[in-house]
Amino acid sequence: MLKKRIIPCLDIRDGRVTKGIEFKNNIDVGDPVLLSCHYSDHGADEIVIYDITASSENRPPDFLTIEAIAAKSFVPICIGGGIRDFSDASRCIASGAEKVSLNSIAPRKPELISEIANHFGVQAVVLSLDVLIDESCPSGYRLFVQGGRTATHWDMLSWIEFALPLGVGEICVNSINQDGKRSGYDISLLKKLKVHVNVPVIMSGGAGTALHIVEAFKEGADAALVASIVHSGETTIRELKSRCADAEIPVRLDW
Amino acid sequence: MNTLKTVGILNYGAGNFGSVKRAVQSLGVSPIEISEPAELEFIERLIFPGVGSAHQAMSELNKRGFVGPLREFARSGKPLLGICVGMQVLGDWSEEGNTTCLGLLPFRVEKFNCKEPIPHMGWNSISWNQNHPNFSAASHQLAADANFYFVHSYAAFANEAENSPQHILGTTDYGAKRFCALVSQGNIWGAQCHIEKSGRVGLQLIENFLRWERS
Repeated sequence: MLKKRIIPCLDIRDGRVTKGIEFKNNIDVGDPVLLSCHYSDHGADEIVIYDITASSENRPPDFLTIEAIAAKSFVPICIGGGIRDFSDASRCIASGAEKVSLNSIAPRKPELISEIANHFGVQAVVLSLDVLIDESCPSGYRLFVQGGRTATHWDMLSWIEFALPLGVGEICVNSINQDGKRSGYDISLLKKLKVHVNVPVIMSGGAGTALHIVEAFKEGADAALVASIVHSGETTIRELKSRCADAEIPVRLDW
Repeated sequence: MNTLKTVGILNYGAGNFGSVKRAVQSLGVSPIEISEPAELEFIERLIFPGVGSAHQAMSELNKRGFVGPLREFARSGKPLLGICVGMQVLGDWSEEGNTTCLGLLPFRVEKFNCKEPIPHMGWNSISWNQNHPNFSAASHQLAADANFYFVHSYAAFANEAENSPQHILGTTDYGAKRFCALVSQGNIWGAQCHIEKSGRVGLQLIENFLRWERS
């Protein structure tokens, strides 16, 4: 049986892992290579690395860090932030990533989705969405870019319907309202997505307890991104997975 | 690890070449990059990575002149391991782009047709075929319910008449579908899962392949 995935998310700024609240007020968490290695040795089903300032600083992700992580972490690696064109994506994959996550660039340059998918396969493209509750949008959510700093004209669901057929293997939705608050994932957001989307859905933003993760999995999330909850050291991926297993959610417990 | 034989990894532009190389290196083996057909002569064992589409993989192999030499390598009895799309093209045919494949093992690859999300993406377990001649060698030091990482939209389905059960080393279920996760016949091995990205268990399976000898 396919297992639900728990994926630690490492936000990188100036070569260090940081964590913010509602995308602001970042605190230092540690070294990206050591942390990735630690998580992959302790049950992470994948590792997501976001270079959170690359996009606004108009530079590519740090390929050397990706290589250093891939040399030690033998689980899938997804890179986001700073991927501007096919060559950046290609270098991420050559450096050892399996997937690239497209966020700010995708609404500006949707053809990049197809370019990457046609060459590396749709499984290499994760469409990452930062969304904020907005009652003026038909779906109730508006798409944001630039690390949640800039609103777009896109309604979340219209954007997904437009982008998915271009070659998306998975979507990762980050709730800006919930980010770093640790009060739970936005479950009504998840339910909306599961009705409209036939690729795996990764939920992000808001996990504060194991129960939040259990809840997201029960409501259909295929994977859950975790950050503060594990970076703070108050719980571990093994602990989170044990709670999921107790709730009869299939998770990988052997590593 | 102690290996007496030279291991090659086929580099024909597949996205996971680097990951496979790093995985093999982590086992203490220095693999040789094979990017020309003539280089196949220098190796005793070959890993054949693959990501993306079977159609693209076959057209790259054709373009680089690898199709004949790969068939010859497999016929010579030297161990060959295909990973993901590298496994899929070991079969006869793939629905993906209506592609004629290498024909080294008798199976056909078709698109998933199920209500679950596609691609089949994530960690899943393998039901081993304990009657397969390579079962003991392949499953050495692996728990029966070990999980491996999969990402694919096409598969060789286990219940298809064309996909002869005697080559199936292990199957995996996704929704109502059962597909070949591991195939093998003598020296030819194939893994649908990304064993280069399946943590310790994946590395163990690679090591098991590297240690395999014809009995």
